[in-house]
Amino acid sequence: MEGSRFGHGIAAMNLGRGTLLFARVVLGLVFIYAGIVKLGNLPRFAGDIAAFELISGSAVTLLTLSLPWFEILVGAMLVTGIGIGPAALGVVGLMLVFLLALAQASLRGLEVECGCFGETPQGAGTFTALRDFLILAVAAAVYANNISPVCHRRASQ
Amino acid sequence: MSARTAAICRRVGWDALLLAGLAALSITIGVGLNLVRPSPVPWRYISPAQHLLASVRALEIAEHAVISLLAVARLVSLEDMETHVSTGDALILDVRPEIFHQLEHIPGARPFPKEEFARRFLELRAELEADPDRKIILYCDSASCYDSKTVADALLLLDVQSVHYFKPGLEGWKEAGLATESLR
Repeated sequence: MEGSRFGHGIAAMNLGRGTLLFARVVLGLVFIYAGIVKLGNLPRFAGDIAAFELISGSAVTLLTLSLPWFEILVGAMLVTGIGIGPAALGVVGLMLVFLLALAQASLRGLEVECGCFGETPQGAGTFTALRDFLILAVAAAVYANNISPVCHRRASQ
Repeated sequence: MSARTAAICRRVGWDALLLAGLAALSITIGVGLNLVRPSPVPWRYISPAQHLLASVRALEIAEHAVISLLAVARLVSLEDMETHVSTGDALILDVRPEIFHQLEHIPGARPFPKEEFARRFLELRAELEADPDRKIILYCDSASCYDSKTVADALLLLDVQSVHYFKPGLEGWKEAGLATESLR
């Protein structure tokens, strides 16, 4: 009886870990794809960033040149499992900044494109915000799972 | 602070530090590759609207233009567009190349090709100044073209008031089953 309950616990834990592993790899692939798409049309991506009217001039260029590589690096780390902590934290940070930028654009009545995966003529709206909330939640879960061994280790000491 | 909380804080701190390193690496790769790119991204980003403004300045007609950084071009819905077309109370400008305007345009629209922005603005300036509150609506091909927004932004930079744009463009207008005009 005890053994059976223990077995169920292990199975549930494995299922949870399996789901998180799958989510992490998918998240990583999505970010690698997003980075590559942006590198394919940097002038267009610069326009998408500038449309948010938060930064201008050289800051737009700096973000245009670095963000795609940041996404590719973060994505590769999530897929390979090397440096999951900083990578997941990076995704959480990116999504928070993007959602804030989207909210201010919406409040100011700016017509902006997400620029996330190349050309999206419909513009950034509710769908984009929901998708980014989902990415944020997955990244937060991956990060929480990544730091949980620290908690368990400390708790058992 | 418990030992567990302290451990988590330390771990998050390390991750944030590594993340900063990752950001620095991304900047290095991005900027480094841009230096060796055949057509590098210009270091100082200039928006298409600012390019248009520069073309106006080249004609020396905007020396004293007030730069309205806070102004925002507003969208016009299909229903509002229909109303403005039927009443003729707004100035509707077609920013596509003139040849396309001649072939087909939204009824009452006037040609205002983006490529001829400076000259067209010069022609229209007196009319715009005579009635500054008149609504100006710009449109281009479809929802995926940016020219109407670009020209709208350029007009705002030149302190033209009440600038709007019709995002669906001519394609959206026709998809709604509405009539068009032709000059041929």
